[in-house]
Amino acid sequence: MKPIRRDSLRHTSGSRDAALRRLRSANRWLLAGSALLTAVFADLASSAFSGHPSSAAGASRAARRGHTATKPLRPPAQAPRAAGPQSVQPPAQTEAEAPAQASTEEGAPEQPSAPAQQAPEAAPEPREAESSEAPPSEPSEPVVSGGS
Amino acid sequence: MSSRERIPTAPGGAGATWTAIGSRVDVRVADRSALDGAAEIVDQEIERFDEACSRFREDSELSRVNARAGRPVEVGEVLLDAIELALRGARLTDGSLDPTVGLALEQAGYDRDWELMFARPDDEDSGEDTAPHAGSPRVIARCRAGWRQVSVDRTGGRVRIPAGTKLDLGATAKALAADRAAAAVHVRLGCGVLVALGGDIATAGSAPDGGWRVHVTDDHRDGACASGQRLAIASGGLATSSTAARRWRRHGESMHHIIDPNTGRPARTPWRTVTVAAADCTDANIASTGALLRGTQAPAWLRALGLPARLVSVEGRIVKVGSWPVQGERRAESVEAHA
Repeated sequence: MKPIRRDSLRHTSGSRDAALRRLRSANRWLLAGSALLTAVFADLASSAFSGHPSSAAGASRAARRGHTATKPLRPPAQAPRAAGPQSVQPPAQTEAEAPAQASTEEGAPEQPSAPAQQAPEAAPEPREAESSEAPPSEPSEPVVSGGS
Repeated sequence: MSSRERIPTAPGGAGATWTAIGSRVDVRVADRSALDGAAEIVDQEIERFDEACSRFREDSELSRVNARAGRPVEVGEVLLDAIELALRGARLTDGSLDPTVGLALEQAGYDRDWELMFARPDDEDSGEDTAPHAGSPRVIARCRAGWRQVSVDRTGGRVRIPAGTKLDLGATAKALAADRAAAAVHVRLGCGVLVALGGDIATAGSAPDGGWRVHVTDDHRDGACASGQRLAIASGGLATSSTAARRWRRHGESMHHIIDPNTGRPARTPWRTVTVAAADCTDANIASTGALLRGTQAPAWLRALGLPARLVSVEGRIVKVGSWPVQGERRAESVEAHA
């Protein structure tokens, strides 16, 4: 059997080490490239579906790009005040009303109300009951703000 | 539109009320001579919004967008504004107020104009399954955060909503219409005005002495005799959201029109009614509906925003937030102030 020469062995291992180094380098470039491409595609996607940043970071990025920042809810210049003395009455208990509860930490399960004669309207239980009495005379009929 | 009825108001002022888009419309003006002109302007504004934003009109722009979900659709300025406002509402409430719950509303049975629902035979509590997909995982999944996928191209005048979804702008478009109508009256006629659409109130210009008189209650159809609170506002907007209004029964279950996007079902909330005052009607509306959906966190959320509010729990307890007045309650059983 022909003996293996030492310098030949050195050459082979040197070539392998060099190839491994190149491979590691190529891997690093591939990783960096894929990370960059991911970022580019993510940015493209976020631009395509614009205007809804999902985090504070997103919001600030959008702001830097000049997207319209979400305008916060603004309080009134002047808070509402209780209306004239003729309409201010002390709280009163009536039989039509539900008893007061000490806490409303948990939403009470809604009581199934009887089917209304004229579906679909079915009054929930309990709710603010309509007064059977006419309101005190007022200089003008107020506008009603209520659910619709 | 029904015929207008004139309303007695404070000396010098005038008011009118009528029905449009399934809701009561109220107009008050500080200058009596401006009433007819103001009512005409408000009517025109309501019609513009109905043509653009109605979920029940087949010829509306919104119906076109909903029918072509997944594809861009050209729309006009009014619908663009209304959709952008709805998305703003979703952002400000962390998605609680999601305009893509239209399909869930339909599945719950609210699929036509409110007045027409009275004529629907299958809403009787028959026990029959008339809503085959109500609450199904498919619907619920599509409700979740659908608003994030709504794309508005303001420059191109196009809107695209996610496939398999439908928009419902009922929560915010009415408030926007009230704001626009009040502003239009003030600009064109130069007088102070209050416009209320289905209980959402917008003002513009100077209020009469003592302010605009308002009665806050569960359902705006109950009128000023219902239990509630008498207020006066000088400016800004006021909105009330309530699970006590627009209710119907479906398969033996009591339903209402405020959908929780997390479940795709009518929201279960400790509050039955929330009223908020804000700089305008749209802000008040976003806050009142958002608070209703926030559950027990609502008072703290409203307080942090600096918005005066009145919340009525399901049991009837009244909680007042910020500078909301304590007096003026009619038949209140329990009032709490959260400064």
